[in-house]
Amino acid sequence: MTQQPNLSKQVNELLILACLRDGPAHGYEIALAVERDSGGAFAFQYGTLYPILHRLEKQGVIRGRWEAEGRRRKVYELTPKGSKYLEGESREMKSLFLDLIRVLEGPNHARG
Amino acid sequence: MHEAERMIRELDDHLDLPARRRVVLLRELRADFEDLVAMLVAEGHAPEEARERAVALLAPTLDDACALTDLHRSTYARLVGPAPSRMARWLELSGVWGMAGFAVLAPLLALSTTTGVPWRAAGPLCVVAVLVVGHLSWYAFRALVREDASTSMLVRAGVVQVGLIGLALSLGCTVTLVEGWMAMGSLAAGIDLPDVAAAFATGAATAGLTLSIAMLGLFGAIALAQAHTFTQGVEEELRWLLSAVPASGDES
Repeated sequence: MTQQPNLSKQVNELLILACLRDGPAHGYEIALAVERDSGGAFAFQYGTLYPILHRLEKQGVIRGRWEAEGRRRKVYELTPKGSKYLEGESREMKSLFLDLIRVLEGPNHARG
Repeated sequence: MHEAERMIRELDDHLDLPARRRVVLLRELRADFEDLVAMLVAEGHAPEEARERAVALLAPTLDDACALTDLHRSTYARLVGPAPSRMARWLELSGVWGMAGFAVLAPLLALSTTTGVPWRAAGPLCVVAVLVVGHLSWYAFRALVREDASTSMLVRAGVVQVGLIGLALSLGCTVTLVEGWMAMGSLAAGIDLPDVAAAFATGAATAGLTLSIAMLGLFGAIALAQAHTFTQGVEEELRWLLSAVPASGDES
């Protein structure tokens, strides 16, 4: 178990990537979608999104492009590399949380 | 000043980045802010209330600004930051004094031959010119890196620097040629003319080569001036981004 210090960062990244799986979106739309899709369980201060989005963009996991028409807005979309990353990381996260739940519930609960 | 302007200005203050990079980040924040305000207004909020809510939701914290600065700081800026690294200081010193050493040694070495005398006049000129050019270029280069460190700008500045050094060297070569020509009058008797012609041809070729390098610097200077025009455009956009944000988010 080496992921604990980065767990919150990883969760935030995966939430963003999961939102972008449904299609391109821009900054605050992603924050709104995360809040809506998680039923309010996860909510960001929107401003904290920008460093995460830009970091993911630098890693090539998402792609940002400026909308040409009307007012210029930056829209983000998942790249093929990002889709694979999301898939792999989701699996790892699921396994991690199942381990965590098993520990939290205790051996007696598992037997019962 | 409204909270929205304050939010954008504060982010701008905390982004320790060149103008063109700050513009891109502020443009994104401002566009998202305007869209969010428009959405809140459409949901039935009063424009002023919508702006306040949008600021509360969107404002990046100091930590966010620091994270963005770290992400977007260029490799050059990391090397040549506000506090020069030890490596940068060593590069600076070895560059300047290496050039100065070469310029001082060149006339001294040339003194051992009969054609070296004119270098005594050209040598100090080269030392001064190369030292001044080298040092000033480096400081300008560093300022450029902090202000706007695009690769093309640095290449252009590098070309100017090479050109200026070429100009200094071509000045030295020209002085050598002129002095050699003048000295020839007093030594007219007993001179082997083919040797003199060969020496002049070599000198002229060197002067021509260094002058060509100097001309390259001229092209670099023109390119740099164009880049400056581009930077002015960035400054204008930055001013616009820091100006008042419309209340309804429906600015055209």
